[in-house]
Amino acid sequence: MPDSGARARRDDRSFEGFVADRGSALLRTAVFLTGDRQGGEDLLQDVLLRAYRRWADVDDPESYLRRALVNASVSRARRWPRGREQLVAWDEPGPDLAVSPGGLVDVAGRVGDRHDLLGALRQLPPRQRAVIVLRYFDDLSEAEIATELGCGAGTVKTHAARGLSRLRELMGPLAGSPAALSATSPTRKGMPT
Amino acid sequence: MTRFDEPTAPGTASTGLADFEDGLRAAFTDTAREIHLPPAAGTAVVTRARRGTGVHGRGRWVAAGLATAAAVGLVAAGAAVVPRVTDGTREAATVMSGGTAPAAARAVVYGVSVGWLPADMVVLRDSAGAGRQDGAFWQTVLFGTPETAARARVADPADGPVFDVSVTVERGGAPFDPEQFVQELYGSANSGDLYAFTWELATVGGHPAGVYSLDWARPPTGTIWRVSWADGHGVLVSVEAADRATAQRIAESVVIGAAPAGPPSAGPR
Repeated sequence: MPDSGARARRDDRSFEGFVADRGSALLRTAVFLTGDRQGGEDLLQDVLLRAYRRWADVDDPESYLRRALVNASVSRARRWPRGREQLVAWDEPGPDLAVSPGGLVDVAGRVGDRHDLLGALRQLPPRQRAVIVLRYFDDLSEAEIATELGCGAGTVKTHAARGLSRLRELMGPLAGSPAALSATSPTRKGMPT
Repeated sequence: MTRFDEPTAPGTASTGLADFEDGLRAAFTDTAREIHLPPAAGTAVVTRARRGTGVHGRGRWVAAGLATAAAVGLVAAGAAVVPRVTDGTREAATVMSGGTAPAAARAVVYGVSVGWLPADMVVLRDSAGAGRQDGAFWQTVLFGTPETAARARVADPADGPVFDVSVTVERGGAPFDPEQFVQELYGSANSGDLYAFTWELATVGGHPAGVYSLDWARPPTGTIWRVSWADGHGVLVSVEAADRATAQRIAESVVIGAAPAGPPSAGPR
């Protein structure tokens, strides 16, 4: 990563290098934060454009951009709450987003369609969704999430518990075969960016 | 790994939660596998930033397929900014005034003329989207003074958008109920960020309206007054400003017109 170790030089080349290196990871976070593919692309592009102007002053780009994504996603939900649960994945019509209990697990016990996860995420309030994403996708600790969100660990626990409860209602049992899922799914560290 | 609020006594419940957490992680991983940023995205951002197009003139780095009708014009100083909402992106283009905007309009947002805005407003940004469940399209435009625009340009994105006034127009959505909207509005903000929330029924142009105040904990948002109402024909308008009088005056100045015809999708850029 360009920002590891001593403070890296902050110029256009380092920005482009950082985006090439970590952009896909940030896009994934953005998509999950918005619960929408296009919304995530839009969110990341917006944040990157703004971050570029401050690039020379950013100490920890990944943390900075992730925090910006979280706050921008919450801000967008404030702007237009009716769109919170209704955004469209423009490029792929996909199935109807009405999520029924158990409807997200196919016969093999795997989560079958990414729209289903995104649809379920959209049902959560933005802050709750952010905690779930940072915890279960970005693998941050409670303390790290609290820092990213600028809130206390207790708040993080509350959001996580409520978010998990709601997702369980929406998604039904995801277990099926957790061991098999883990065995066939790459870990976050192993995922290509 | 620590689990959130994992039950300690009932073993089955604990196991169920643990399985669900594992399944959730796997679902994230599976979904993420399909999400990639094009290699040239960083270069594209730098190019756009250097062009000075910033957030107003952005195009997507990934193709999308929406062709919808939305337009905004700020009628001031002989020019109007008309973003073309084509494939789900916002592309601002400066054109001469005198298009579809009524002569008295200060701005036109998705076919809705705004007759009054505070002095010296410029368009800071626009955004648009659509509702999946009800087929609605909406557009939000943020306005601000040149001073606010200058702040917005250097604002920390982590602090959220900087603006003085916002106007949102939705067409074709679900029927609007001011009281029900309270739940949507509050629910979207139910995150500990909201200090205070008030609302009351009102009318705008003879139509039932809701006047809401949201006191945000985080700067630079502060308190926002929001006036929302629908015309009874599928057009919902929401105005936000820092004070109630401004929001209401803008709301009262609005004239709802037909939705503009949108250009076809521009395809990948």
